[in-house]
Amino acid sequence: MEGKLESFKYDDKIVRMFLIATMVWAGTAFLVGLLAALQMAFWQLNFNLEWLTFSRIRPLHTNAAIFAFAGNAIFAGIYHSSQRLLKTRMWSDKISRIHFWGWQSIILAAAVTLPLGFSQSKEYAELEWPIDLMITVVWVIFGINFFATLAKRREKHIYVSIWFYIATILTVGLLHVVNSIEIPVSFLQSYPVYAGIQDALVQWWYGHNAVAFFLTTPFLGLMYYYIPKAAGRPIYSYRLSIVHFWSLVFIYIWAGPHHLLNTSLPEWAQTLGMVFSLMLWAPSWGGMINGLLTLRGAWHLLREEPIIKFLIAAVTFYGMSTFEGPLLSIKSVSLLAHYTDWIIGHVHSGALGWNGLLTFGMVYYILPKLLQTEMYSKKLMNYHFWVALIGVLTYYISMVSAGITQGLMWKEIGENGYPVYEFVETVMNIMPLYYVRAFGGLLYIAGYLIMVYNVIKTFQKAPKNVEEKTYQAYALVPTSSEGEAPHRRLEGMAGLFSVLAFLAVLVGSVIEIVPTLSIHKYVPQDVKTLPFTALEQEGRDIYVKEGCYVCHSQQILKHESDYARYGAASTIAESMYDHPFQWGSKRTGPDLARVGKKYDHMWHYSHMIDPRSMVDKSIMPPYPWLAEKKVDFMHIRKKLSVLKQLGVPYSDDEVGNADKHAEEQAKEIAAFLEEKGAPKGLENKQIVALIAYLQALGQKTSVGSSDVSGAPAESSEVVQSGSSNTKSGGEE
Amino acid sequence: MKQEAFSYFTMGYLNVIAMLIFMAVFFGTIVWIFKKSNRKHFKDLSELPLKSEDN
Repeated sequence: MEGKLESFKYDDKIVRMFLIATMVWAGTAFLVGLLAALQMAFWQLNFNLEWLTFSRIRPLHTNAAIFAFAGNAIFAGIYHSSQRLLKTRMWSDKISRIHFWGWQSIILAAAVTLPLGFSQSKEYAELEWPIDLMITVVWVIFGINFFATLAKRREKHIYVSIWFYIATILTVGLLHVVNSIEIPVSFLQSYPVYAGIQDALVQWWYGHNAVAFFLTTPFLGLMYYYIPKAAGRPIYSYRLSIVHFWSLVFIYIWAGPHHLLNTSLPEWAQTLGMVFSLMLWAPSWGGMINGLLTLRGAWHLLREEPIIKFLIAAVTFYGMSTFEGPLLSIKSVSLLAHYTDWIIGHVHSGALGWNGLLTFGMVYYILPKLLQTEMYSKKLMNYHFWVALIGVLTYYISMVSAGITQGLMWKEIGENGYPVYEFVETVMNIMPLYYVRAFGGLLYIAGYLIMVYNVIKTFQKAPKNVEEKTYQAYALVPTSSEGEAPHRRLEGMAGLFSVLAFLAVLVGSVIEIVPTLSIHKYVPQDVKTLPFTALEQEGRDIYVKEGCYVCHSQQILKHESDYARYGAASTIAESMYDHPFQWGSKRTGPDLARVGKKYDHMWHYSHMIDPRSMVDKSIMPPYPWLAEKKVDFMHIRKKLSVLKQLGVPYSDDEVGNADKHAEEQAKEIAAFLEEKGAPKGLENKQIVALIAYLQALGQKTSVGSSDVSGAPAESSEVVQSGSSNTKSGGEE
Repeated sequence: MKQEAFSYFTMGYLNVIAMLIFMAVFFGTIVWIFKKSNRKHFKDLSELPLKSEDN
């Protein structure tokens, strides 16, 4: 039974708006990425400006690439393909525009606040609480628009792409809300309710699934639509695509702990994360094969059609990075790769290869159709493809080589039990690869510029005032579903299917996260951890604000090479009051979990002002502004009272007189610095607070009455003697 | 309550039930997808993008 024949138009203007936004933000994300890459090779390139310093712009780069470039691309593709698959115009033009402008203002807010240092330090969730609220609102608006469109569709059956979009909308909403539960301290600062290991697990449950449900499922939905469209033939196996969908939804959500292998995270969670990551091999490769084999019998298109080149190369990169991901999730492989540039290479093969190339292919497909013309130059599309491909490969190969090299050097232990290489030596050794990486990125940008030129030329030659075309389709009428096979009925119920997909995701999340909420269970009774003093906590906030975690981990892995270099493995107790956790994910500099009391205050002061005065060849940028900016002592009271609410055991006196206690401690440190030759008047400067924090790292946890501060006496001596040998030994 | 939730994870039979549910869902999906009578239906579905307007 069919309803009456209806005429309708698609809203293509919103698609065009998102496409242009994609192109604009792509340029921003790529350029900031290039600057960050060059800063690895030449530390001077922050031009002595705090807001251009690596630790501030790295979050800007990742957020721009994920949420601005990929985000706008997803929206363009979803708005374009969903209207056509559902045979209806989007539910509300006005809401589509609110979605568009809301999203762009979130990006602008991010572009302003991140370089200014307003950051929660949770990777890919750095944005502060007012922006978190904006994201929630805009995402809900997008969801409403999408589901309302689904409800008024004229095509009864729902194509697999739409399932991928539904999973994306529901899961990203869940991830964002759960990971962003935080208590504001001031307009642009907040503390997450989670601490230490809980925060680590929630953050990487989010971080991993942001990749899964923001950079994978929506792009797979696009793949399942645009590859058949561009190739003019249906997907190789529709059945395989359903297996692909449900397996990803069931399995992906569990894999987050693979970011925390060999850390203090309980073994059961690590093993769970590793096993589910390995299981992802099968559906991911099923999906890749499905995409590739769609071209069976039409492989000549790969030679002739640049769009097909982009799409197929993208799917190949999907296959490569989903092969590499599970590989890196094996505990012993992770031991070599964790904290190194291998991971950077891995994410870029995903972001530039899979997401980037698919986006370019999609833009080349949609744009001329919207403008009712052809692309200005097919030849330039081919140039773009080859330049971009060589760029990604150069980037990837250089970073994997750098990662493996550095990982092996870190693990080299001499016969005397000391690490063979100073940390800075391992950095110097991979420096040439940083040049190569920057060159790879430059090539990718060159390809992008070719595209921009091609797109502008296409706009110029397109007919002006393109009219929206009118289409016709029969309305759906509610039918009694008797006589239909049961699964057909189920499939018509988008609502029920959405609920099922959501449940699958929710169950995995709850089972994995809930046990760690009882964090104290994991801390032995006789272990005592003291909270940071007022000044140390203030210093910690500066550490977070400056983005130190971008290059320094605070988590000593369970492996001899880490013990030899940094001391005994980190414990759960040590970070149990850390809101947010600062375990980090990359060691461009050495681990800092037990840096406390290793050097004197003056070493830290000199090192922050001019890192190379303490560690010859260091690539760390200087932070001279810390010696000029003042600490707001009164504000510390508010901070400690919020932390107390969150369960950090501060006494009333510690909270009420936080300013006085902090000032006292600051004076002691400033007096020490002055005695050693530092300028007068540092007692109210930020650098003093940061030094207090650094000196407290690894010093807060003790067993019974004896102070262990983590490392057994023996190995802390090892590190001490190692560092006194040479000037450069300092960074050890 | 939280402690209780945690203690459940050491209970063998719950793990087994969870595994059985997972396997039932998995094999149920596979059977549904590859049932012969559904072949034509899925073929129709796979044509959906190609039937949509090329603009």
